[in-house]
Amino acid sequence: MKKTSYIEAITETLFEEMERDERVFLIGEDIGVYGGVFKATKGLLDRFGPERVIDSPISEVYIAGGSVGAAMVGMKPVPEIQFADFITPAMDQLIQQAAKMRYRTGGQWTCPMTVRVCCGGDVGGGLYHSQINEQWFFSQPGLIVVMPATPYDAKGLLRSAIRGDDPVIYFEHKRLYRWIKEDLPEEDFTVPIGKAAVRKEGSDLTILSYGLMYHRSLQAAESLDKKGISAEVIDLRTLRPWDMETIMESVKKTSRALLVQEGSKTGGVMAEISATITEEVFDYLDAPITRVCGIDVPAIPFAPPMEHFFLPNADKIVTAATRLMEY
Amino acid sequence: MEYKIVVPPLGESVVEGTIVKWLKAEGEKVKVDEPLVEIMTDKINIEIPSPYEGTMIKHLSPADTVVEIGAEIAIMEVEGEAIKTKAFQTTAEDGKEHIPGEQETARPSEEFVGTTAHHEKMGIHADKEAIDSGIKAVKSSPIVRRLAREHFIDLRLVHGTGRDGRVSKEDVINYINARHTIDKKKPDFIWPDTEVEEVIPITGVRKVISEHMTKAAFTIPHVTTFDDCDMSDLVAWRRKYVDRIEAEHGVRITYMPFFVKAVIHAAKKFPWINATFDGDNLRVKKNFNIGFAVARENSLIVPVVRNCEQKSILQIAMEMKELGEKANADKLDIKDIQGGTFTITNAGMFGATASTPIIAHPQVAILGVHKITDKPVARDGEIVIRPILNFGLSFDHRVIDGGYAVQFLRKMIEYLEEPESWLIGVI
Repeated sequence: MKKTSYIEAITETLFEEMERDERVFLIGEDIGVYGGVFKATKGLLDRFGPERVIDSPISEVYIAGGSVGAAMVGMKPVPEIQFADFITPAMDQLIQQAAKMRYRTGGQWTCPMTVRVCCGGDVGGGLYHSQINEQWFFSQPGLIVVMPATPYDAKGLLRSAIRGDDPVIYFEHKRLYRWIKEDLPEEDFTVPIGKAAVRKEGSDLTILSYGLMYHRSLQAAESLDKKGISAEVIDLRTLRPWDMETIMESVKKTSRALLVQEGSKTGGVMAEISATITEEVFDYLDAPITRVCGIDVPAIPFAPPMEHFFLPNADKIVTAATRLMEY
Repeated sequence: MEYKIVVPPLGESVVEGTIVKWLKAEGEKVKVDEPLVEIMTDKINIEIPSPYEGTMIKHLSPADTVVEIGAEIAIMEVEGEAIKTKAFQTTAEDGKEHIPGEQETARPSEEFVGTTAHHEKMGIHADKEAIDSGIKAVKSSPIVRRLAREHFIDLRLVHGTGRDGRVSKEDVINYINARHTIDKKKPDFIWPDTEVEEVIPITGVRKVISEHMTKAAFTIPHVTTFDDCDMSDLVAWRRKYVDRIEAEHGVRITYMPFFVKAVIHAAKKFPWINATFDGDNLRVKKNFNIGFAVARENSLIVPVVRNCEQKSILQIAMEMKELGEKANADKLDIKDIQGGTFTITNAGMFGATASTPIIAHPQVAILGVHKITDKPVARDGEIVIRPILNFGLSFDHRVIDGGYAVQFLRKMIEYLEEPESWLIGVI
């Protein structure tokens, strides 16, 4: 067992997977000589050389397009998008090429690539360094979308992503990089794609979240316990395909669902899950499905009070949960 | 895989029963030991538990069909390996003979509590109209409406603790739990003030009694004749011997065994009184299996003392005591209540001085015994006080004429008025 931070888990996994499989290579802005803006790829250039750790020009379309081409001819690219905010130029390659490759070739071609996307707010990053846009990819069939919340999952999901045969959008939350540390087993383990984790069992309501919001939800659940409200906390981990079974079983048990999402509310992951809960287990609901989300403004504001106003936090979750229980 | 459901053994000397109703519809899911079908035997009705977990595919015998023990009455579909119940085993784990019957089904198991069948049995569920009205009247969520339908709840009776008095899931669960507690210590269920009547579904043994009474009352043209018996000698005799008999034999003798003997004596001259009649044939019985009605808390049961013509008064007294105790402890076997040829019912123990009892079909007569009262009567031109018992005899006028019945009763009373003439030889 070794105390490992979220970002160390990612760096270690990249080392291990590149050792394990020579088809794995990295490409991204400042990832080589500089070691990545958050140092996620520190030391990899020295170990694996410039052919496998490629410093790209500032061109997300090139990073993504080059990766799609390499993946199609048998490589396993792990491109890095330095900030989710800048992923839009890569969208054409990811949505039109990567997501559809297996489908449009009838399975003759695959696109095994793992796009590491650094995302998320609560870091004082302002409009263009705080965005979280997983819902754009969440709604695209053909992609796998994951967002680990713990070092264990960061490692286990990255392994599963790199070892798989399909394009994975791997969102890593920059607020978690050095905040969360965890003892990780030395042995090789993976976390299955498509499986949520019930992190805390409870009987009164289900709080569903992922990424940074999982930690805010857990914090809220501990406060709720003191008020005599027993919250079950589920970390979604994989957003697409999401774990319908675990969530429906939990909602059937508690009859109340509180869905927490960092990004703005409209059209988000939780809108889809909310609709599905209503379709699948309407008969078990005892209160309206409630969401706590980022607010519908174009991006996270820079001013700290405004950033806090935008982002969900434990207090907001506790307030919503209490109202939900009083319904 | 399909399994056939057969009628299990329903007790000694029971060869057939009548399907009262199917408790599981075709297509319905069934768990092990859930009641499948209600079958009525002579006087006890039994809910047959499901031997399997699966789905009811088909009823092979509809309600009101008479079915023999071992007959195939339904088909069930069972997935995988059949889970079998222990309910049909005729030898229990303690090695004693075990007959599935009223005692077993009357007391629901813990897991049975809360099922539809249970609520129906306990008679505490709301009807469909009340459930729907409750749902319309009360602010409720999907799960609350679901629970209301599943557990037959009128939501107007549930105390809502949510916002603006809204009924929450927790409120319903608390209500169900409270109701289960009430179930377990029935029958002191308190109806809310809004109810203007208490609805008691007539089920189980009460239902069978109801059906038997209706059949007897409306099939048999009843006539009741009354006659007074001067009990002076018998009262004196009993007073003299009762303590001694009790000391020696452990039974405090009542008048009932004497009445049994008097009936047998009188029937030597009027044998048609001890008979059954099915509409075509009068079956005059050579043995005297005398039923005597025992009132229980909420029902009536008639144990039978067999072959009284071969037994002494003391023997009859002892058997009556034993059967009465079994009846009160709810431990009567089905054989204890079958095969009666004549019945005696004692309304006098509650104070009645006259009554017109209903005949136990297919028997043809029943003797009503009433209170012994000291009354002024004329003897040799003098008014004297005597202990008088007014007997009522109801008889089936299709087969028994009035004169016949009246003479039988008079003959019986003569015996009772002169006990010394026959007591010596019997006791």
